[in-house]
Amino acid sequence: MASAGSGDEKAAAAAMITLISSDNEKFEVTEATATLSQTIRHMIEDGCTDGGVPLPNVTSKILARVIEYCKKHATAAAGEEGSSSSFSDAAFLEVDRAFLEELEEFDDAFLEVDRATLFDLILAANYLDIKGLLNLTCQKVADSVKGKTPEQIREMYNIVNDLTPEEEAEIRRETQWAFE
Amino acid sequence: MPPARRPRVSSRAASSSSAAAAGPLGGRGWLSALRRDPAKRPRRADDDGTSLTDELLLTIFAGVPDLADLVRCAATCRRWRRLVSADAAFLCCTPRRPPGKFVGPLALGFFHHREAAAAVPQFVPTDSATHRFPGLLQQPQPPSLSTLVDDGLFDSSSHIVASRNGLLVVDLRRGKHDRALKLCVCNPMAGVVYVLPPLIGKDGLGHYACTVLTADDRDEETADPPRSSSYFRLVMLYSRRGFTAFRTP
Repeated sequence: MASAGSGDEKAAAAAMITLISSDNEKFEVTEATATLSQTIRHMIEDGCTDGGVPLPNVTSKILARVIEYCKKHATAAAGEEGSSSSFSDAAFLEVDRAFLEELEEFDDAFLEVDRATLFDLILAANYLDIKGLLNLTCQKVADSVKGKTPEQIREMYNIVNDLTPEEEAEIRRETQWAFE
Repeated sequence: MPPARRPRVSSRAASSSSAAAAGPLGGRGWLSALRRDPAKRPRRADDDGTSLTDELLLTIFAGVPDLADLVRCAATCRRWRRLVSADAAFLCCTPRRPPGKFVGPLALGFFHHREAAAAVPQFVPTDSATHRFPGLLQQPQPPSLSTLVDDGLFDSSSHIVASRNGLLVVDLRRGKHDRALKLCVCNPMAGVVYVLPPLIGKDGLGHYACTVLTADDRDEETADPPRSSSYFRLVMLYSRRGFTAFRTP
């Protein structure tokens, strides 16, 4: 973070951006929250956010969740920056750790959603280019297949099995080690 | 696919250059027996009913913690099977816990050197390998080290001194009077041979022992883990007149 221009940043942090979901619901968020999305950051830089940012790929239900995530992570980022100047090193580390723990707890609770919502969050995070949220949600899916059989994975994610019984038998035969 | 070029062999004299700096020699990896032209592969509609794009699914697969989990993902439907098998190289770049045990059915075979036969070390495939790689035994000559590069890099005096995680270390010295130690590291599956800079010394080289470390051997705690699957490091211990040296070229 550059120290010069902190006045500008404060002014920018106070600026509000309106996000418009696919079902036409309007959400007012601070620029600091909105710019966790690289897509929106670029729109702000290009100066095309007047009159709101339409997000035709994101429903209000999902956008509300995404904003919840961005608010929390934007606050955490701001809190860390602020604390670095006003605390001693030891106190700073303590605060830093508390922030990280709180953030982790938030992320865990945030991911307690059904499959459809999780996939919608992945799609929204990808569309809005929010790296942290994309990694978080994708890793959730990746971790969820641990120790599961193909049948269980299909059931969890509503996957249509279009393999023929012969193909399935062939996969099993060739990769028997992964099924033991 | 461009026509396969005959691999060229060149060894680099500079002993200070690192192993990785010596360019690999392209060869005929046995994996290529299974490789098909992607354009000719039949493309079927393989809709799995999920809304995620291929790119997003690959991001997810890259995060799957265990190789066995990844294989079971590939067994769920056509689309996932296609993604996992087509991008296996990319997916395996992510640092991931190996199965942790020796997986017998995955072993392809072993190299066997019969001193008496005065021949290059031969490859003896296992039953499961001959089933999975039918091309392996249908080659004009039984597979051996020479199958990898065919311009005389290996001969009957070449012998394997170490092997680990799919890599072989081969001593290329011809005869006992060869003063410089010439080693190369081969990956038979990828068909890549790295000729290492020769180890030269006025007083000749005595006994030595070596092993090769790969990306799978890295310590989880290491700050900067090697991401590349082609990473390797040779560790050797050798004696010179009057002292013993330990080095990683």
